[in-house]
Amino acid sequence: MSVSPLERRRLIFVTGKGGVGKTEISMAWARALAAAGRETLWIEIENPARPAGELKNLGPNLLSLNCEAGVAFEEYMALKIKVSVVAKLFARNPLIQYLSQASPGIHELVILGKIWDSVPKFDHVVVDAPATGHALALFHATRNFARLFEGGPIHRDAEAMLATFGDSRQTGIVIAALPEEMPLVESLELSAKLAKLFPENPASFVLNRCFDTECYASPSSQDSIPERKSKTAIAESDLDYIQARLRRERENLEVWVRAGVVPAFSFPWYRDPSDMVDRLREVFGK
Amino acid sequence: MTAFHSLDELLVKRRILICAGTGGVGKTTLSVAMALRAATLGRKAVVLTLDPAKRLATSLGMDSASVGDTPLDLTARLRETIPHLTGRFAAIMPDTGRTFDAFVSTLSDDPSVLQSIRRNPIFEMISREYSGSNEYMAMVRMHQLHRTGEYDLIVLDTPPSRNAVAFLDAPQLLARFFDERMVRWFVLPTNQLFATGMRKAFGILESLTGSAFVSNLFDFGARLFDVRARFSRDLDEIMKILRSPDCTFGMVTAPHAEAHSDFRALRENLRDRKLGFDVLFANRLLGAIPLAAAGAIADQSPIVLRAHDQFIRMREFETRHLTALTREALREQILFSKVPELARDVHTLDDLVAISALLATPAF
Repeated sequence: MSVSPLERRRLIFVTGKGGVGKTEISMAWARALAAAGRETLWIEIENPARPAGELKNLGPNLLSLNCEAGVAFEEYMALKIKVSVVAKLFARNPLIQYLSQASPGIHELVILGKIWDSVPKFDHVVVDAPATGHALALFHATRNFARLFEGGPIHRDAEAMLATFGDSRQTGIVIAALPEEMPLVESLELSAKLAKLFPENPASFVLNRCFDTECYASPSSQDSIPERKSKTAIAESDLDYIQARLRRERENLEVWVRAGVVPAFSFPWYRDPSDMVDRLREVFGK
Repeated sequence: MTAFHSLDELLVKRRILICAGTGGVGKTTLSVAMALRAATLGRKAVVLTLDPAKRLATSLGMDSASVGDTPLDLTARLRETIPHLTGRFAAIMPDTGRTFDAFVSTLSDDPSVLQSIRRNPIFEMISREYSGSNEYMAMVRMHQLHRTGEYDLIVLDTPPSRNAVAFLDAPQLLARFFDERMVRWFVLPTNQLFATGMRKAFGILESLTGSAFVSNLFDFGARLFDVRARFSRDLDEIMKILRSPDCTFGMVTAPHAEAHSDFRALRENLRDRKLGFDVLFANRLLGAIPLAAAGAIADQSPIVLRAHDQFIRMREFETRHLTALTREALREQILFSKVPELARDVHTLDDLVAISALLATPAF
């Protein structure tokens, strides 16, 4: 199967351990595409701080959507049941609402369904996906739940959805990590689990908030960074800290090197989020 | 005035401390450090964590074999580092797999009832996929530990979730399964579904999902109906403990751009639910690191010079956010604890003890 460069893929999921900057990266990704003249939709999933289902204009070529299961369920039913009055009554039936909210499989199915349904309407859709475990649950629940509906229309939709996500020409799954031990290890575990779901579409990796991006070109060359002399828990000076952190980040990155992972992007720590957009535009703009 | 003069006072007076915060801020590390600190203050302390990083678990002398429902007493090991330790320290790391199944087993003492729930295909799917029960299971475990009375202080490290508030919403999400008004539809014989709207809805559902699914759904609903009383009782008891003066919340945060709004969202949610909130931690602060004389930096390699620029920018950014957080904590009358960034990863029990000592004495 052919593989498209990440920036060409219509659908991008950004996931990774909590605190690695998924929102920052997915938003910068969407902004960079929009700046290159592509109609782009950035999707966040059930952000309680924003109105459910809210669609907002973020600037030229860029919309954001707060995808929420209740709203998505109603829309999905409107698609499935052609008579809109019946669809509305069905989706608003208290028992059906109960099912759509309490039942985990249906909940995930309609969220992914809404994302999938948005893809043909835009040039690009970028999803600020949940963190590791919850992201996996999102895909797993959909796949397993669909099995309960074998033969029916929901089953067919779920299969089509998962086929899109598993296609490396259309979809990119980006796992973000920091150059710290836990996020790096977790990124590899997540990638292995995703590979079982989507064997034809291996995940890509992004390294965020590097202390120094250039020195990671060859993580194993420790030569120019002197070893810490002090053994104190807190660094004795900024110089002591910098040296310790540079060495530690390189050591941590050996986890990726050993697994053969080459990140698609390595971002330094940016104070201004627009710097990440600019960095991505250098690649997307071509 | 904050409720306590110091973190030490809080650790001595409260019996349950729930540590909230978004992922990746060091919640688990600080939860362990607080339990360690309490032990050095003479308390019998236990830390309950659902998702310890492997290395942290190893540093506590725990491995996959120690995952389970019994607390592992680490007092003897801790005495090697702190010889005059007067309290006790234990850690418990319940198995996070099969939590919905574990949850169901809390619902009945009758094995045949449990078996009939487990045999339902919908239950089988939910037990594999439902991640929202982790939070509730943590509360159940906390409740059980509290009831034994064996510990003076329980520190609960909340499972990873998108935001600190998600933990508080979990029981309500689970409670939706047992919503009386809904579940009763499942125990009515089909011919008694008087409401035409309801009958129609089921008809449409059947056409979309197949009849096997709908009949399994009825069975599942009916089983839940049988055990709903036990669930409500447990939930009430847990909520009662959470609201009691024994229990309080703490929040761990890093000084990033969203820290402020995360803090406010948690503050509001705890207030609405009449739950306590006593301490806010700003973790991994660079401000604690003394700056070397300018001359010491000038002759360094280009890599170090570049990194130094970055370090200074990060420190400035941190200072700005810290000022805002400090003001907010002061206004809300909450203890504010600044925890320095360490020069190394936390790998050993000794590292954790070092952090626990830093918690007690303001570093900068």
